Amino acid sequence: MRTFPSLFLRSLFLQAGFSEEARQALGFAWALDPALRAAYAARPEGLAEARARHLESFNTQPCASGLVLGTAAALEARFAAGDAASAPRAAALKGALAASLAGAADALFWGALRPLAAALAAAAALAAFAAGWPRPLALGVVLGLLAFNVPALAVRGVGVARGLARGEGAAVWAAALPVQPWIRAARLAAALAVAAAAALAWSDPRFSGSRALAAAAFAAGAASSWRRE
Amino acid sequence: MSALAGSAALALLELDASSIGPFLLSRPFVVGPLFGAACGRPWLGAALGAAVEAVTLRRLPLGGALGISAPVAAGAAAWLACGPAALAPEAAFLAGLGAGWAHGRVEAALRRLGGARVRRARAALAAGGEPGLGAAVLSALALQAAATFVVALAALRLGEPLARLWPLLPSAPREGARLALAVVPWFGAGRLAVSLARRA
Repeated sequence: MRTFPSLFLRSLFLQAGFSEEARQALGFAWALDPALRAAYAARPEGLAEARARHLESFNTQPCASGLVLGTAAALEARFAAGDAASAPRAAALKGALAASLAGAADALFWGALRPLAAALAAAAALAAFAAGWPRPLALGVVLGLLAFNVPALAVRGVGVARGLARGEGAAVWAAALPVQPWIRAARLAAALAVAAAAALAWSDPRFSGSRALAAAAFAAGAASSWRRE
Repeated sequence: MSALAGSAALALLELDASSIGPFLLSRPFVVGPLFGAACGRPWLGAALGAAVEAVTLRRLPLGGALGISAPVAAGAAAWLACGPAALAPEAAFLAGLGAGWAHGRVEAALRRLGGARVRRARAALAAGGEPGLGAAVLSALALQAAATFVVALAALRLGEPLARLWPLLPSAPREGARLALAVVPWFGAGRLAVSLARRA
């Protein structure tokens, strides 16, 4: 499936050219373009219309964009092959998928995995430093990046593959995923990593400075969050 | 690392936040230690990165929302404190946040203008031509990197004048800034831990 690598790699540029007016439309249209050119190779008169369809305003969470791109590519290929209902379905499904995926993926990637990555980096660097390991900061940074990028790239890649293979059926598959338990587990892991990083920094006066001030500031931050939520 | 090299590195790293990925290469927990290490003081860079992370981490980029640019803030703060200017860390932290804020405003302006690329592509298609999507994406990336480079270079060039001015300030604001830098990471960690735990 030659479409997969192109869609996957180009989906990484979804945010390029983000504008208030069309959001991620430019990145989406560019990412989908090789798939459209392949689909309409035998019917070039349909290519311009297909390209214009995907220059409409579009916005979703970038890590979740693979499923939308894969689904849109599959439905456009069917339309180019003669299934007249596929193009309207692609347009409707694209908007609906983008909105529903953005909600879950924002919570998972921005709200849970991003803080997990930062906290894990800090906790790992401090633990490695305390243990006397070489290059503790580099170790922390690499672990933090892995904590985010392994799931992010996996979701992107699986999304492109499922979208291409199943078309609109991929939306049904995505809706059945246990995303809420994943989000809760990632938030809990992130909270534990933040607590671990704070405890490790607090236990070493070189990092905590005044321990009383550090503890008071941590407690004040916790209390402000408790009241707000 | 010179100001030019630091600004160029920041311009490339910032693309991760705005345009490519994201891979989190632009987050302060990466940029702070990286710039600190490049200037020979990795732990000071990491501490400033942690402080900028504490300020920016809870703000989510939903719908492309813009606040303080975390990579510019962390990179500028780390370079100003660890680089040749050797600005006091608390002053570098505040200057970094200022640079991040300025970058956020520049990026907002770029986003207001960016719709023209899509309009040009649509017009080219309507006229029967090629939409030039690849060139449009490339120009967007180049403009973003150039804007970040200019903002970062301006911030880094301020290092030496700021290093001369900072000791001339009355002690109260300097002590206040020092206290803020000492407190911010702990306050942010406490707020984040409880927020995440309650929503788990």
